[in-house]
Amino acid sequence: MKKWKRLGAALLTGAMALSLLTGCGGNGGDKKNDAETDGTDGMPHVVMTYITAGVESADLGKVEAAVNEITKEKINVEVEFKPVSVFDIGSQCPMWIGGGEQIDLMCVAFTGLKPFIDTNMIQPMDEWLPENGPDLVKMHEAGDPIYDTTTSDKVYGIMTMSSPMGNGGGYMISTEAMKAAGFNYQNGDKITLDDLDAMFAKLKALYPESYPAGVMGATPRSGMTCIADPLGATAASGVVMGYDSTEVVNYYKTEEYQNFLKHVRDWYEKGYVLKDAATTDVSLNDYMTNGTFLGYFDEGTEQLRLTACQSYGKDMTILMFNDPHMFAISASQGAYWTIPATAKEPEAAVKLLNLLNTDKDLVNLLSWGLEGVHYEFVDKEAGVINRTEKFTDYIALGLYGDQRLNYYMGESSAEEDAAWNEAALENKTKGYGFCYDTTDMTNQIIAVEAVVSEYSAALETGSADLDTVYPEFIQKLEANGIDDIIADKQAQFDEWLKNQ
Amino acid sequence: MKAKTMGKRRIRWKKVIPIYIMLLPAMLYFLINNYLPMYGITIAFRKLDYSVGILNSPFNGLENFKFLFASGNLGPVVRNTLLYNIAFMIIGTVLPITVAILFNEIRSVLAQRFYQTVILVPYLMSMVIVSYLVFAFLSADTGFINKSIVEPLTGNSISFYQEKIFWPFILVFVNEWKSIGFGMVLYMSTILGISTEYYEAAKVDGATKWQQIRYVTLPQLKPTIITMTVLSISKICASDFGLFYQVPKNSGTLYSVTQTIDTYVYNALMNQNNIAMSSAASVLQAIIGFVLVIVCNAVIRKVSKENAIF
Amino acid sequence: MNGVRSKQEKVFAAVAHVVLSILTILAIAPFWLMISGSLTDNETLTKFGYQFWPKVFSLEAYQYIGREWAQIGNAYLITIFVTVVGTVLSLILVSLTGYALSQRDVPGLNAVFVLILITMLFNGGVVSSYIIYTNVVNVKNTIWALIMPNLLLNGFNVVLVRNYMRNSIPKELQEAAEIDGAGPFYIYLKIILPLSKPILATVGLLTAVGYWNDWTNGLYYVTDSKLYTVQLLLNQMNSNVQYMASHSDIQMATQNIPSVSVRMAIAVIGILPILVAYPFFQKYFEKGITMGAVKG
Repeated sequence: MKKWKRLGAALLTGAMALSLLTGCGGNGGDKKNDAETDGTDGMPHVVMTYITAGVESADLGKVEAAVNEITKEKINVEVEFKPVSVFDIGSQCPMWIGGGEQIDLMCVAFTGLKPFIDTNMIQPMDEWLPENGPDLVKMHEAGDPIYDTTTSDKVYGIMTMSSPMGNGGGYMISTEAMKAAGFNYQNGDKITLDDLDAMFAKLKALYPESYPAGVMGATPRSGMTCIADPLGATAASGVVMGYDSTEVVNYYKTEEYQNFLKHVRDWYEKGYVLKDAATTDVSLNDYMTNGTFLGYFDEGTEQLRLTACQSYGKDMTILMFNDPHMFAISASQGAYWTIPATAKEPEAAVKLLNLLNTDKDLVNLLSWGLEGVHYEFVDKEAGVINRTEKFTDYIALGLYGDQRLNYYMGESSAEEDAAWNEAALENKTKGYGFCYDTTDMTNQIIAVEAVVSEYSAALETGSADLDTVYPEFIQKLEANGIDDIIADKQAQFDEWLKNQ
Repeated sequence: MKAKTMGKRRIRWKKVIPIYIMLLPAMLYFLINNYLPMYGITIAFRKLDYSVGILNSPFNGLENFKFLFASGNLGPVVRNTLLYNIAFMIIGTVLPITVAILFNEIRSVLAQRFYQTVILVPYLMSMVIVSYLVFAFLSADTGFINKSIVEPLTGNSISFYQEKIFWPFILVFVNEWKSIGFGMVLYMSTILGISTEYYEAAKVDGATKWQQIRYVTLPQLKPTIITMTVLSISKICASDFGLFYQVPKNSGTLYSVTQTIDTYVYNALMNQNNIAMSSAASVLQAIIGFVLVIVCNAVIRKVSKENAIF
Repeated sequence: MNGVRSKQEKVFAAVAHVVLSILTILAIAPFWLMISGSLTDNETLTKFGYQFWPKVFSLEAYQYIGREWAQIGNAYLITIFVTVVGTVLSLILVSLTGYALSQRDVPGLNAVFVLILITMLFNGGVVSSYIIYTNVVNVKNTIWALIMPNLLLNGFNVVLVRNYMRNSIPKELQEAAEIDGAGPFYIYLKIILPLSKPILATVGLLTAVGYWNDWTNGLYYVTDSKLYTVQLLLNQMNSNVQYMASHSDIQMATQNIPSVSVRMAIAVIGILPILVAYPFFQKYFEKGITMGAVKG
């Protein structure tokens, strides 16, 4: 009976609300509960999105409390996590912000900021930076690519600095298998695709049940074998090749790309590649652990190699195609922290961002949880930690604050990281610092990206016949206007170069 | 008879008012759940601006619709959508009705319950799971069809996810496999509603089983068939996202035979995160569906007024 | 039932058994595969694919899910409550509406019908629904958040019920009752409802499955984990497993998630209860009162 009454009440509320809505066209957002803006003692209350991989960690509440202890003491700010799964950022955040809910700090991960800026979903933070984020300003001035460069004049996001910086490309291979096949490469040795041909042939003969070339359609990796800078956008709008070029070209017509396709097709036909490579959704982790794959294309940092060794339970060797290098920073490569349109405490949010990028305790708390509960020190001096039994009660994505402040799990890679950073900053492409503004070409880019998504998985796993499918791909790209986009990009790039 | 002619002439308030009252709760629900949010359709015609609220964003005409037509790729996509829906409509009517009629011939209650429960199983599975199971059959490396049929016979394997020719068949099969359980239940509920008198009368007249089906069952099913058909026509531009996206594993090679308007829009807007553009696409689909329903109903009304659904 | 069955009837019954047996196999084989997959060692599964009999038997998938059992148990209670209450409410609404719309002598019903048809085609998108359900009718973090939005009533069901009442129930029944002075509510309760059992069972099934399998309402309107439904939890776990397994930089944290077998185990756990409950539901699909009897 009680239930019925409540439904009745709900229906009644609906009827009353009707008049409200038909009158003003439903600007529903404005009258949200303002009551909670101020935290305890009038302290600013910051709502930040907390990105999960689906399930919220059991101890998230404990970590939130510990975070508050730090922020209340150091910057007089109260923090509330708003958990959202990384898969749902794209659908949930527009809903919340469209619904007028207070969010002061929002994470945008692995997708460009452009659509968010175009729709004013996020606001520029320039006016709050000098006063509330002095350390962020300093980092920027010292050369850390911490500001987003989506627009030339305003800062819309603070990038989560990864450790180490920059890009690279190599082939990660099981050391044992490599040695058994008679190769004695060391970590970081340079190789070419031709070298891989030889190695794969030996490996396949040795391990006929396994696949030496671990390529998968879900993650096309041709870009790791050459220096192709998409200038802050995707390769669908053209790239500059190498460190010295200023000419925007069609990536899919470059010699490097064609060369990659030829090799991978050859591997496919010789049985080095899984037949289901283009469509499989079994994870790389599973394939590596059970020995289906012997290796895969990888960024090549020492941290990734150590992680790989741990999770596959075998030693891995990384062979490099190129040196670490810096591209034009693209928002779609990293995670950015932004101030949404519905922020009520933007100053406090920037203060929090500032702390996230300077406070080692806070960063590690968010990355690893509580010391003594979720992790323990192995070597406090070197910042090396190890997991405890309750480690899995707090699992976080590395999206919060400067990741260079993180402790090392298991083994330190500090030296290798430093060397990598140095090399990366030496090898900048000519586009470093530039970001292509896609505004005028939105519809063409949509069309071209649709073509790329149609062909790239099959081509880059060698599953499609090169002689027939590749020309079709190129023809379709051109029919959908890739050359116009490239011309537009070139014009903007030339303009930018002139002003450097 | 008398009541009917009377009803046509004047309104009997003693009946009309209770009927209206009965409609009230549902209409209130539709108002809250459907009509109030429908204001959101205007998003399709606006340039999104969250800073003033999405429902107050400035209008930009048909700008959001342009991406649909910017490339020449829409043609095959529309063709796929229409052809699959027509196939589903025809097979999705004939098959469940056949099964429902056959089902009705089974006398054992136990057998009836068993069949009904089991055939409903696929209906309960999500498309994601279905896509894994389909992959278990079709995988080039480990799939049953390759491992136990194709390879022993030919020594080679078929990369199903790279071969277009199989997919129209596979998709239709999977769709029917998944939906036949519910379709059968639906038509069976109508068959159960048919008075046994009709059949007894037919038997007395010496009608064979076939004739009973032909002259009693099918005519009684006609209204349901018409309703279901008109309803599917209204959705002719839409498609089951899971079926066309997850089951073919979004394999680019297959796009020319598997891509529908919904999956095309999804792929195209993947990096755009623009609800105005996706809303534009769904508005277009709804308008086409609505026009088609009105036209269909008008035609049915012309042919036989009794069968028009409104 | 009525004496000796003719030879023809026997042939029909035999054909029916054959056809339905084929369908049974088609339906059960993949389901079996799913169960077998959930009981197979993950490494074997990713290497050799799904088998009809576990090559290497393992319960690791269920153990993984079992770790969250405290929450899943609660989620089952919530899901069952929501499914039952939602379906009952929905059947009351849909039968009332269907009955009202099935009348032939009440003006304005066609217009109402078209209004309902429109709701099937046009929708304002999730964002505006979200605005309504959080600002106008605030259901956020209540049980109603799982019952009200989208699932309670839809045009499709209304159309089905209305057409059944209109076409399969002889209108003479209602007319006779009206002449006897019965009002619409009386007719609805005493005549129409009992005769509509098969279609209400069908629509009820549709609605119940809708409630059982829904996780979007929970995702949008519920942040209180006490109100999580089974499908929401399972969906979260599924995406978690998928994400952890495909991002090598964080996977060290949760090594050895049996990702593929967990997917199957999750599906089994999601389907089994409704499958077990279904046979109890089935009696409503049996023939109601013979029409002739009522007529006489």
